[in-house]
Amino acid sequence: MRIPNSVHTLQLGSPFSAIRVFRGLLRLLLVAFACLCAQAQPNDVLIYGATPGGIAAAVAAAKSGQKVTLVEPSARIGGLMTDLFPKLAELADGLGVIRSMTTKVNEHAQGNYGFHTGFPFFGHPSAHAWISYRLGTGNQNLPGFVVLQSGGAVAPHGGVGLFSSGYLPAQHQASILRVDEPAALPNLRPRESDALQRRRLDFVRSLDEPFARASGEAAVESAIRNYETAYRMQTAVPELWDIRGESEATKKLYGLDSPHKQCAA
Amino acid sequence: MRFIELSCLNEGVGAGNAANPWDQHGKLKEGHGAMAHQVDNGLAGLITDLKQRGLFDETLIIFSGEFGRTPFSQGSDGRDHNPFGFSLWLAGGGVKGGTTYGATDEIGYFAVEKKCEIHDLYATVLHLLGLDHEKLTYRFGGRDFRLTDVDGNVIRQILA
Repeated sequence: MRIPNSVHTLQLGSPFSAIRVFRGLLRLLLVAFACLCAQAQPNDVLIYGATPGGIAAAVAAAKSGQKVTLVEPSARIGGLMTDLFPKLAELADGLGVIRSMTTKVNEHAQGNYGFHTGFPFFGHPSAHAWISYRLGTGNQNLPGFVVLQSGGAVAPHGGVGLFSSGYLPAQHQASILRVDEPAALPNLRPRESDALQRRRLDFVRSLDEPFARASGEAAVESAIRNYETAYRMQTAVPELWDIRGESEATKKLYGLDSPHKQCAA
Repeated sequence: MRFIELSCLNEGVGAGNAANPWDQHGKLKEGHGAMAHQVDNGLAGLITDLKQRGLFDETLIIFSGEFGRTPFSQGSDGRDHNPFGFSLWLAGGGVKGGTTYGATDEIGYFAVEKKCEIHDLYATVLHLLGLDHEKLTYRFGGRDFRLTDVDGNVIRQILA
């Protein structure tokens, strides 16, 4: 929102957390400061709180010819946020909000395909697959594109095609991992010794690689890569899933102590 | 890993079901309240944790639905889909925090100022990852395809 020049605005650059802790004290200081400003430069109206109502009142008063000072205790003036997200609202200074989004489709599956792939129908690669395709995975022991699910969560309307690699090589499709189960993936624990499994994979690879070269089939190359990633995930995923080493503070941060289980992230 | 997608859980309110738990054609206030309550702590926790670990500037968070909801009611207490104007947010590396971009009309129905489309969003996302969306192509079926098709403008005003 553009605030007319005739409205004086005060902004603080202090970190939000400090403001939260010292909010009471800060309010007193700000009011005192505003009063000083008011003395230095006479004002007709002092408004405390740049809420939508506060801003509207300031604008209305300024338009009617009053000199106005608008005082806000938080880090920034302007912007609107629902009170449905109280904790996120305290971090709003870190958000870039686009308030003019549009989409060409008005139905869930099409909308989800639009937002995942850029096209409102099945068949194109997910944006995340594109990113994996170009940037690769950040950790060689894990796939580049992962979907985390828990509880009764399922793929959004449109189904697992939303997580597809489309026409990109198949190793860029998503791996769906279950966050609330001891095993994030079924059959993660190998049934044979590592040495035997390694020999088996090497043997399969010795058959696949010449075939991949001779046929030029990208799908075969993808299969080889997926076998290898799956092999490494047997160790990497259980390590990743073990949060016992996290501090109590971190667990609390993610709501693991919440009585409402759905809130635990 | 490079990209992690998180899905919301069903709170069982209104028309929201497992595949689209925010879909409150009825009981909007109750349903969105329950859904927002579910994700508020996790989102704030994630941002705070990333900041504490010094990873916030290396991570891009996208929070969005597939469309918005009408500013007027459907039935007595629901809201219908609205593809004409809605909000999403980005946070993390390269995003100018505390920014709002664009606006809807007086009642919040149609985007009227600095209209954005999905291709603009992904042009911006790819830019933040150091990629030119016009150069990220893949040849399939005889032609080059792009995530942003033949469209997309980087939304520079929300970049740090």
